[in-house]
Amino acid sequence: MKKIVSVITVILICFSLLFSVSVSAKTADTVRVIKENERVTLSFEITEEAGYSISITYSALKGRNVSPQIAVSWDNPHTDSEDEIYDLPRTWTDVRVGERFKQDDYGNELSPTPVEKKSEKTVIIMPQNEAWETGFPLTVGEHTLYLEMLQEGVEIKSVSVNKVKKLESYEEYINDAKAEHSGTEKGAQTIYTDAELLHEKSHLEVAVSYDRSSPNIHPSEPSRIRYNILGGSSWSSVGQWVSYKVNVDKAGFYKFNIVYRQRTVAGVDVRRRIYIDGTVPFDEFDCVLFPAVKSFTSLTPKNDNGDCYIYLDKGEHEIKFEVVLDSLQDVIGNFQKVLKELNDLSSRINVIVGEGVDLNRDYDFASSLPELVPTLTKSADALSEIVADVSKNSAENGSQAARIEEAVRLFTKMSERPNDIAKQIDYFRTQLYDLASVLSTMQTQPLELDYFELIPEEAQTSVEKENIFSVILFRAKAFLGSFVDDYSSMNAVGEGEEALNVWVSLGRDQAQVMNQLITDGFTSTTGIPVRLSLVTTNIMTAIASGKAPQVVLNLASANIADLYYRDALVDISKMQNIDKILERFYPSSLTSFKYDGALYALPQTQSFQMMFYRTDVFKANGFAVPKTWDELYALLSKMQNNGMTMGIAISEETFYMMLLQQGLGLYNDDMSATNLTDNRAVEAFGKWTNLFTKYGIPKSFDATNRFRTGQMPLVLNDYSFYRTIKVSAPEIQNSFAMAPLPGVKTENGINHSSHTGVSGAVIIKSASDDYTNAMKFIDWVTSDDTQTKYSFNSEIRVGISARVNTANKNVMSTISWSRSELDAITAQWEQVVQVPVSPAYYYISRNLNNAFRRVVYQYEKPIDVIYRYAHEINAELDRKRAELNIGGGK
Amino acid sequence: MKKVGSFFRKYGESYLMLGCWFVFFVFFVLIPIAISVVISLTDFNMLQTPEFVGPDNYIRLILSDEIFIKSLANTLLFAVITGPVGYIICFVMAWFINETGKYVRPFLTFLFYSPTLAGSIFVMWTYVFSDDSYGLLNSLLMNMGVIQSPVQWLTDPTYNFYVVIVVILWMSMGTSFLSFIAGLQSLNKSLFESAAIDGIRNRWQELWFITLPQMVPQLLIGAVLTISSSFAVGSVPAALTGNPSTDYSTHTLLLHITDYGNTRLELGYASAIAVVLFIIMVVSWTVINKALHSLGKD
Repeated sequence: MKKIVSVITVILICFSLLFSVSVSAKTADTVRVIKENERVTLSFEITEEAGYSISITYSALKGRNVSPQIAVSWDNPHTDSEDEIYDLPRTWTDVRVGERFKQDDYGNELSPTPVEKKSEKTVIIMPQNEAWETGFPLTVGEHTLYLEMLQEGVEIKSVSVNKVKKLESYEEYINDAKAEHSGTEKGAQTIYTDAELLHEKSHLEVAVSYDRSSPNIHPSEPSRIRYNILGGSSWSSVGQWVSYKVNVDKAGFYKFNIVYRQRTVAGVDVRRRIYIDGTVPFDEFDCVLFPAVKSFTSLTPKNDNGDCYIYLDKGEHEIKFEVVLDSLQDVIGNFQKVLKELNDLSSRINVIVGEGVDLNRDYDFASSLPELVPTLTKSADALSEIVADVSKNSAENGSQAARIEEAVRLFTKMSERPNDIAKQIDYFRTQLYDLASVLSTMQTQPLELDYFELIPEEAQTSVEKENIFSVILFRAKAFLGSFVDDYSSMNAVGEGEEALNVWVSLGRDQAQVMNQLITDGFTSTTGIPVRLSLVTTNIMTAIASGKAPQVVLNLASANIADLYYRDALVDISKMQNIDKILERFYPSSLTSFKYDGALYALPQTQSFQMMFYRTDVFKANGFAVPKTWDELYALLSKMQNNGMTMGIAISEETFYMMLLQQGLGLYNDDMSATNLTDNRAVEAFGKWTNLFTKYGIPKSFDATNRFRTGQMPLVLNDYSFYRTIKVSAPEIQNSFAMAPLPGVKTENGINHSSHTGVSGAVIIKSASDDYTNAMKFIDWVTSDDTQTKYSFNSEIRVGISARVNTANKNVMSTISWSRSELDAITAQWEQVVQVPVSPAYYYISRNLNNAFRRVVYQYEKPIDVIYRYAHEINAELDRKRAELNIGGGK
Repeated sequence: MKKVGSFFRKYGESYLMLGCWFVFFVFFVLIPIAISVVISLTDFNMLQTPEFVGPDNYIRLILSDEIFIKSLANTLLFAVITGPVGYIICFVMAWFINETGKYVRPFLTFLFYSPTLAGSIFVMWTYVFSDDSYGLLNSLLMNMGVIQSPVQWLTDPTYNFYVVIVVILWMSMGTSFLSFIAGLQSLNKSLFESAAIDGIRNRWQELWFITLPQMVPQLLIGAVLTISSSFAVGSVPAALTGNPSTDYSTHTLLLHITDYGNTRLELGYASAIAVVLFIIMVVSWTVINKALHSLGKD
């Protein structure tokens, strides 16, 4: 019955990293903790040449919420192939109230909060390449297994290496089971399980969602939110699983009726492996194919002879669905090979033609790049084969095949007419990204589940389909409900009640998370009711019309400055425990909130620039990550020789970075004038404009696109660019990294300073002079605990695109950054400086832009230009200070 | 008393019908204009109590605000170039389209009216004139070998004014174009026959003496719409060239108002600019009105 027969035991375990002492141990009772970046070496004596799998029993150590990742390699300690990285997932479960989820004041279900469960799990590791089915090929003799934790730590209970054996077929299984359990009782009932009510899950991101478009999705309410679906794009990567507990009243033979939908990726069939009580019962369940369908459909796993039944005892059983690629791995492996060859070819073409193709030049590829045409022909053939494979697996011909065919057509055309290749190079590059994105799409296996049933022999499904009239009625109710429901207020705290009015301009999901936190963590402990509203209007007009709330969250520092210069905010510098509260933040985040000895806001988010680079491109070309500007300039010329360039935005932030690295602030000490006429500022301005004139960095570009294509393997951008890349360029997921910005060498090391943007929570002045509740609230909102929960919940609810750029220094480490990312962010964070916000702040950016363009477009002398514009800025600053009576006016 | 009663019996219904519109006119047009005139005489930062400063804002506007003069010049240039040109293009296109058959006409009308129908679709021009070397126009010109490096169409003050003019002209087939077509449809055919008998020599004479005089109402409404739209140019340059544009090269009065109202939060000053713009529009409309009423006269 068992898939794997254990033949080998562990002979030696030695901690090569810690001490080189060998410890003898047996598999079963070995308990070893491997922390992040630690490695374990194990030796195995193999007695039979065959394919083997590795089975690891472990429990994850408490840490950040990311999945622990392990690198596994045989007999070779230094490999960095992606094939050898595996997840050792944690175990999560969703918190429920009774049967279902918690509801808000309007009867809408709130998305459940996952909690981690300490539990022991076993993962069977098979190769992720063409040997996916046969296992790691090992010869007779001693072999060394290297296990290295790349991310997070685990406690290893046992490691064993087992020969891979084929699963038995359904016929064998059912004949055995029928013989064993011949006299089963009659009258078993159909067992219904809602997919959203899961028992355990492997990854945080596997989440429930809702669809209220039809009464046929269970359960549903026309105008209330019911979380009734599991998965979608959140449940699509290999190794992610979800398990359920089902109670069987009467022992017997049951078949599955799984109601699912796959429309997340058009025309792609997805695969799941089904485990019953921890094992795959027979070969048919090893990989169940779910064809792409647009609406929820029933599926019963079957083979050529009919539906597949499983035998279940009376009692509780665990059913687990796991994402697998199975036979698709062969196709993907071939695809990766072709793509790699094409990418190599593309970079060699880049060396010859540079960034912009000159159509009037004969590049003579036949002699300069003789392998060009053969590679293209070969790739076209290989891709055609892949298309055939993909279509074979697909029930309906998807768009993926069409996209590959388009590339094949181009490659054929290029190889047939080598003299016209230059004309096609831009399109060739585009086709390469497109192929890369097809590849990453093929590897995602999204599936949405509504519910599943276990139907005994001679019984029917327990779910009846609604008729067309009830569907129409349902839709009508939902439509009418949309007129009644209040979308802006997040809770039902009434108008008349003495409540704290809080405005927030966030996404709806984030606001809901915030509301939930307020109810559970603030109102319940302090007894202060809070009316949270989702408002995007200008706060200025609200104050002018007397409709202002007491507290506004996530307000940008420029808006905050506009308010305090006009005496609309409450000074919180005398607040209770203010010194302790301020310890949560870096001083850099407070600069623009302080004015005239007072403090007007508590920081919530902080953003700053980071350096992003493509690790694969850097490795292939032997580039080193630049630490200083001099290194960056040197690297730039190397890149330009290879047809690449860098992405640095012409924003004033780049200028501020240059300025701050000269050790100069933008304003003088009492903020009565700018320092732009200082020699160092002139120098910084020169450096800034030189980037685009002398060094020829593009003035305008699409950072995301050029970064993913590798035309700009280095980009300076806000660190939220990380989220953008993660979401929009899945194919380079593992081939980019972040580093601190380039700096200037000083006596005390390298100065990496740059400007940081901050948003904060403010209290608006009102007629009643009592701000105690409001102060308690903003203290609570910016606290470690609240911010940790907020960032955790919004990320699991919305996904990585909602990752919070918190200003609280204790919270950053709880966010799902990898160790190296976190280190890079912290290194930069410690050095950021905020340029203060003067009442004429708007005049700085526009005039710096004008000055920049004068130099770069009109080729005027930087020093003349900056003096002229500095004069204009200072004049506006004087005028504004007089208008607002700052510093006595002039 | 009796007189009033009979007056209402006689005209009451008419006033009632007029009333609905009048209420809106008073509250949403007259009162805001009056308020803005009052605010223009104060120093008002939106949050604190306004301070009466007399004509200071106007004095500053005319004597020391270079950007106001620049934006006034830009506005007038836009109005002078795009107003009449757009107006004439509108009429000529309407005239041509009217000559086509009854199946082609609605199709062409739709085609020419669609840019206006689609609202802010003009943003697509940012792709055409994108500053990137992959921008449509840049890559085309670079492929043809006309330019070597990308031209910054939208941010370089040498070009961006012309780019804005092109886009505004593209958008000028607005409501006035529709009213022209409607006007051309309703012309009295018999007048053309009698004119031919009376000795009209060519299409130009026909246009001038027969067609245009019959169309004065439509031409008038078209002129009003064109003037108000060409003085209210703002969203197009702001969306294309940024707000504010490089060295205010495409800054208009409307943008100057929003700059002071929304960014600098000086509502008194912003109102002063608005009042000036209002006066300019009233004056130019009066002039155009006079000119149009002399159509078809020798």
